[in-house]
Amino acid sequence: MRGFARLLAVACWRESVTWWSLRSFLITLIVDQSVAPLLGLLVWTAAAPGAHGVTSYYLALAAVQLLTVSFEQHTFANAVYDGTFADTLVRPQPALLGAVATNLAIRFWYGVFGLPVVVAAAAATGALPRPAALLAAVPSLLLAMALRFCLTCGASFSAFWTQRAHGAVSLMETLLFLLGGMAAPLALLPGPGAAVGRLLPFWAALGAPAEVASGQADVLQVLPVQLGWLVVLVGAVALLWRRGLRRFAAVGG
Amino acid sequence: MHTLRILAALQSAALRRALAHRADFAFELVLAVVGGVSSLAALGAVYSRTRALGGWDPASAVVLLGTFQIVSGLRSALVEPNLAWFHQRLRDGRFDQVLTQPASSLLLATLGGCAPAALLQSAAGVLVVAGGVAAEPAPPSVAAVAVWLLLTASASAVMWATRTLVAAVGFWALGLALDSVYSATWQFGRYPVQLYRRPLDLVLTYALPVGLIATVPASALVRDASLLTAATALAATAALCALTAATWSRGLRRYTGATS
Repeated sequence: MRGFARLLAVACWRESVTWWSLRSFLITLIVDQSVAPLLGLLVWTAAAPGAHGVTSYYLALAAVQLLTVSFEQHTFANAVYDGTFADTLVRPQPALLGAVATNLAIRFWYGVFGLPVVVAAAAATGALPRPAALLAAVPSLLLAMALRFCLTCGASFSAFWTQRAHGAVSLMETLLFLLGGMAAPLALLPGPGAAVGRLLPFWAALGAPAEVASGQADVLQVLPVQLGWLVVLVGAVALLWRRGLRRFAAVGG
Repeated sequence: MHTLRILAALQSAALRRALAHRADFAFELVLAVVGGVSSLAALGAVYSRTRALGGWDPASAVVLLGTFQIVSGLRSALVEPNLAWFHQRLRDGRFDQVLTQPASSLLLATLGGCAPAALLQSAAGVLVVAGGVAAEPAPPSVAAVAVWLLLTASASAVMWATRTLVAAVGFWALGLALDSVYSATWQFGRYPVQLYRRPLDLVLTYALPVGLIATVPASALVRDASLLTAATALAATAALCALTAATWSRGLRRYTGATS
């Protein structure tokens, strides 16, 4: 375990340095990721001006979006398609180590560049979260980070079977947008949408920590849902990984 | 005419290549349907809380969303396959190949390939527009439909011109990839620009012509846009296309090639 932690730390450092050299590109990616919460904020403040906590929710959601973003369709699926994944398999280290390290490095830089802007926006609009709510949101955020990675990774594993891994991730992102609390805060969804949405993994991976941070959900009610989905998704990802590896074949050497 | 024939041949080849992968086509269909339903559901959630958004009632907003999907589908099918990560082609020399071909480099580089499956998104957009129009209290006049068609074509030209301008930045700043920023700005087009507060609405109307993508064409269909508005939109489109051609030409003069 200690050996894995050291390997991961070294891989994270290497990836962080690599991404620092791509910082102008990183900033454009951060802008791209920030637009959906910003649009949600603009639309919902216009549609429901009296709704409580919309601004604080969407600003928290922007922070969650930046810290949970995952790009395994690029880092992992593309390696399967171009065959470089075969190199990874022969190295004496876990095959997903590179993908995990890249994921953490990107999230680190997203946080470094993006969070100050979100905090400044929250301060400017008077929507800074209460420290207690912010603290309560930390475990929920950590679980959301793991859940988002599992969702994206699972969809990216479709690269073992099809050429459409990017489409599979895009489909998952669409569901995340609609049911994860991005298109609308679940509390504002009509009919049984809110109740159903709170039982799905998409909200657990995105909207849940934002609701906790903005004081709209109790962390003790959120954590069991997130933990339950984490168990299910880790199992599903492990199963897909084992089956996918058996299917993988690469030419060259 | 010669260039158009070459473009038609390239598009035809791309279409035949795409049709050979029917499963991919079926998957794109699923993506288009889920994307369309998701956008409509998001709009429905918003209108469950309000009767008008930026002065647009639900049916009009559906028309706007459909128009946005039509132009977005054209962008994904005809322009993005050519211009996505264009700066990398400038950097590694793949762009040289375009320059050696006996046709306009601007058209070949920006419209030479296509991803026909993405046109399903445009088809879904047409259905959404039809649904929105059907929900309007009165059907639009023939003239309104004609102006909408004209302005949607104009919006497609604006999309091509702005996307090409963003890609052409690579001629001056090879390390600056603005693809993601363009995609981010594009998302503002799915709602009426009147929704956004000052100064954002002014920026999205005059500085970044996001309003021309869907708000102006949809206005023509559901609000009988004035002739002045339509003429202004067409003039802006023509100016943007001319600016794009001039910028491309200047950019080409700076380009020195990356291969030997």
